[in-house]
Amino acid sequence: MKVELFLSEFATEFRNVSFTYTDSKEPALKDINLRIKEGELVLITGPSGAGKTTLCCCINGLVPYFYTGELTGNVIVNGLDTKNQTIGTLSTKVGLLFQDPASQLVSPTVVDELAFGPENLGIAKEEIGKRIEYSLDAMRLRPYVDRNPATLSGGEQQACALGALAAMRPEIYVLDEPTSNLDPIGSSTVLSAITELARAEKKTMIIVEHKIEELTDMVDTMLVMDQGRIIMSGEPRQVLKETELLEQVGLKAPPAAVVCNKLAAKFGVELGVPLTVDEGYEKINNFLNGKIVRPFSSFREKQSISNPKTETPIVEADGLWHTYPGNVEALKDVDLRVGRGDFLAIVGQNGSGKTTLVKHFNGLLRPTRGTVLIDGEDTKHQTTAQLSRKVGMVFQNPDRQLLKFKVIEEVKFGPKNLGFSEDECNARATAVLQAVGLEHVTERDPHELGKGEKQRVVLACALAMKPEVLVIDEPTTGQDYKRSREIMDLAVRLNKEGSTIIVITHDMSLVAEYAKRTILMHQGQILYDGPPREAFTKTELLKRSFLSPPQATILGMRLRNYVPYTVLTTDELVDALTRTVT
Amino acid sequence: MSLDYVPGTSFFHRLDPRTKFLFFILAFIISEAFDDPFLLALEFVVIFLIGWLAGIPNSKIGGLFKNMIPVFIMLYVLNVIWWSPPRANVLFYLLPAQKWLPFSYEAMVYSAGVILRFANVLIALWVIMLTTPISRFVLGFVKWHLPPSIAMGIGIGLASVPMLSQEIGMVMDAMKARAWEVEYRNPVKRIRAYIPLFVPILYQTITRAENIAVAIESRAFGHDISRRTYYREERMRDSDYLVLVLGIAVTVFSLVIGSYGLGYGAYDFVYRMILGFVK
Amino acid sequence: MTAKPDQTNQPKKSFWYLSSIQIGLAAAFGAAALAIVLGGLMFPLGPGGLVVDPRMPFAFVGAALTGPIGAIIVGFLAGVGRIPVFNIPFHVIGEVVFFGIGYKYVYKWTKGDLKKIILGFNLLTLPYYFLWETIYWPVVVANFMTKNPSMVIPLYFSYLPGMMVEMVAAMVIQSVILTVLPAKYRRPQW
Repeated sequence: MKVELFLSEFATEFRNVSFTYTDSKEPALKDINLRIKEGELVLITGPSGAGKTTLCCCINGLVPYFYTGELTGNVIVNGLDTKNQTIGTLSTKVGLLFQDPASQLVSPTVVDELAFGPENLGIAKEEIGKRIEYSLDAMRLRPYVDRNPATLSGGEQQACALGALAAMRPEIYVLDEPTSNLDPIGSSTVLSAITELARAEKKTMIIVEHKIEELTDMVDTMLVMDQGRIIMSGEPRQVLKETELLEQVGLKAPPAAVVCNKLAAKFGVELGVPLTVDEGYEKINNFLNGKIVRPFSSFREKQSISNPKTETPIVEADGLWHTYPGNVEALKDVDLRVGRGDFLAIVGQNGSGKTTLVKHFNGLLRPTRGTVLIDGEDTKHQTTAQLSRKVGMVFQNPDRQLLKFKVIEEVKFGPKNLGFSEDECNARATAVLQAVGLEHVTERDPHELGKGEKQRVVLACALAMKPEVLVIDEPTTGQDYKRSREIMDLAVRLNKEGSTIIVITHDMSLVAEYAKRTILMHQGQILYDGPPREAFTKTELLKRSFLSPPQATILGMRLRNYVPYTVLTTDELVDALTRTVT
Repeated sequence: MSLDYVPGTSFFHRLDPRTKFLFFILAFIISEAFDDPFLLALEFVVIFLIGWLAGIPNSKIGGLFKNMIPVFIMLYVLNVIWWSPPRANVLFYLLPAQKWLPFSYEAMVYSAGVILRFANVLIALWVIMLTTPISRFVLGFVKWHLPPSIAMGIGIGLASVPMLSQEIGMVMDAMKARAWEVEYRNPVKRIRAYIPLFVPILYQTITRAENIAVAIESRAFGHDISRRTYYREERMRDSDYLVLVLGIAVTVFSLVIGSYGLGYGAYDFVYRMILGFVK
Repeated sequence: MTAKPDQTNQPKKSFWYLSSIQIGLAAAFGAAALAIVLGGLMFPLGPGGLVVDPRMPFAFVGAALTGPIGAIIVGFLAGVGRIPVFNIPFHVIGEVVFFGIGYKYVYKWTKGDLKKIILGFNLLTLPYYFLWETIYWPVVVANFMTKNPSMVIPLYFSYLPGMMVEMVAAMVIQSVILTVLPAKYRRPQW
């Protein structure tokens, strides 16, 4: 009988681990040393490409047995070296949750999904039943028992996937960006499910996340990765002291910590590092209390940019209704005017009607009632092909939009469909590829490019049609902070050159940083239309649509005694607080 | 995932899927036992009533048959022309000069039987499929020792269809937003226009394949598939055995009296009876 | 050194064994074929129900990559969407024999060369249509529906034109698919 050596007292240990994928020259992991105790909650963060997912996959054996390559060093899970285990054995101890909810669902109903893992383990039917009941309650999935998981919302799907893991009773949970693809409700659903699980089961949890501020008060340890290495590790407060370093590697540091660190540096005091907005408010309030504060009248009012008045709006919707088959009213009496040169963000949860609305602008959907005018002409009398000359659309997943084997051919696809000559198509494609910074990859297969480059190819495809209006759908979903801002910076440039930009998003910090105008949608109606600064003060409306302002704004509102206006970004808040104190 | 499944709690819905599968086989055999269109029409009515009692809307069945009309017409005409008994009463010839391709009364009666046989196979099939999710058939066949790897593959494939359908829809939207058009009358032009669509569909398919592999590996697929258990199980009950006994009895009776037995199911059986009454 | 797991405690692989990637490919390609049928992406060629069926290349490629056992899954899924009683046996047998088994030998000959793969794959498609499809349907319809075996002849000729158009369309689409497939997925996975 073969005896397995018990190699470590830690739940998970990495000893000098490096890994290079088979088709890659550059190692994805470089000399990782890591020890995670039983019952510990660990947050791992880092920009895209840092190696976080690779690290996660090492723990359950997907690396190197499914994702093949050269693995050196030792990964020890529950005392056993993964080099001597199979994925089948490791998956009985490690539950791995992936970023994309739908990708990990394989069953026709929620109950079948929860049963799938225990069935593979050969567990008796009665025991499977008990585990299903547990997961249904823990993940609040009881209303969806016989639903097809494909019909659930993103948050519900992710909760289902997590419940499916919980039913296997793993020792270690590894959650790889569980909220990355989700809207705020979905994120909140999943994060409370994770919290519930952590509290109830007291198991080891390794969570990879970009949304650091949501988790820092929950975890014991925080690790920051960049380019395959762990560059920082320690208790969250220790790590968050280095907010500048976090920003340098392309992460968005929690606003409360950034503000405290900057004030501490500016005034030479020790404020400590808050983990939540409440803590941040306490620390800043205590610091400012008793200090002499400049009167508000000495501050120059931050200008609210109101709706630009133009003669002919480029996009106009009048009394627009849209009803999907099955009597689903997705849009209810929507009126909207978008001026030329506008930079507008349409915000709302999934299902609020944002995408349904913009699909009317290029004819992908037609009104059930009401009219839509593009540049003064009714869309009723125009085909989608005709409208695509005026309204360009960049959809979420670039892989859905790539059709050709060369980048330049990809970009020429649209103009060719419009009937332009080969010379004209080439000229347009070359120009837009230069504009988006991809002139060096024109002959490459777009499918082989990195995520960020693919996104820019897709943007170039829309721009090659020379539309007056560019609609960008959810630029932050599945993207890290740095990448989503790259696309938005490009959009700002295009706006300065005269394009009208419409961004669909549920990311309120994106709205704060870029949009001149915000349209808040909920259940098919427009609740608010105006500048972001004013939108963030409409707390009741935001609450109704399950959105909240960016954390910097919330913190600024709490500190209203010291901050005379609604701030949009962390920098604005720091600036306002700095000027407050004489 | 259930193709066109009409949810319900009728007696027929609650039968074991294996019983329904055997019901279909028996209906198929009965339709082979007779050639007479009147008897085949009677079988059609009985199956239709079973579906009606199970709560299947008439419009659903009607819609499915509507799609088959061109096939029925083609098959009917071909069979009338191609089949002729000796001493047939020919109405006319399609090529009268050569007396080729006759249209006879007998062939028309026989061909009506052919179409009704086809219709019986279809309606029996649709009744069982509209009252049973396909995943339940798979579970039923597992009890008949369908290998777990095949059962798993089919189950996951069925579950993946809504996702892939959605993806295809989104791919088409993205292409239409780039002025892609497909509404050409010319079939060659139409096919050419669709070719680029298959590239993103393929990528989504490969992505889905890898996601499935990773997802099942991460949920102990590699543990020991031969010892896999099943939470949901199909079980035959008394009502299933009752239906099967009845079904087998009717089938045996049909085979005995029908075209393969005593010959009462010949194509002109009722036709001649009617002629006899008229005379 | 690339790690290899300890196999001593692993159960023996049965005849029906499929790896996770075989299951993934079979399920995904079968689902794609079914989604294409259910989505109505069939191109009508005229009366008589003749259509160009773009699900076939997905069924063929899925079966070719996953071997005969995987091809059963692909064939079932490809056939279940339309008159399954005839389509399932048709697709299962056809996909298993011509692509599930046949492609392994074709691939050995190609040694991974893309042009040869496309040629070999299309050569496999010829007997699938000319031997299997055009014989199966007339034989099934003639024997089970019309109960008139001589009907095979007119049915064969009525199927032939539509079948040839469908075959050409399938060859074009699968050539595109094979070109776009990552190289590791042009190799049979069994």
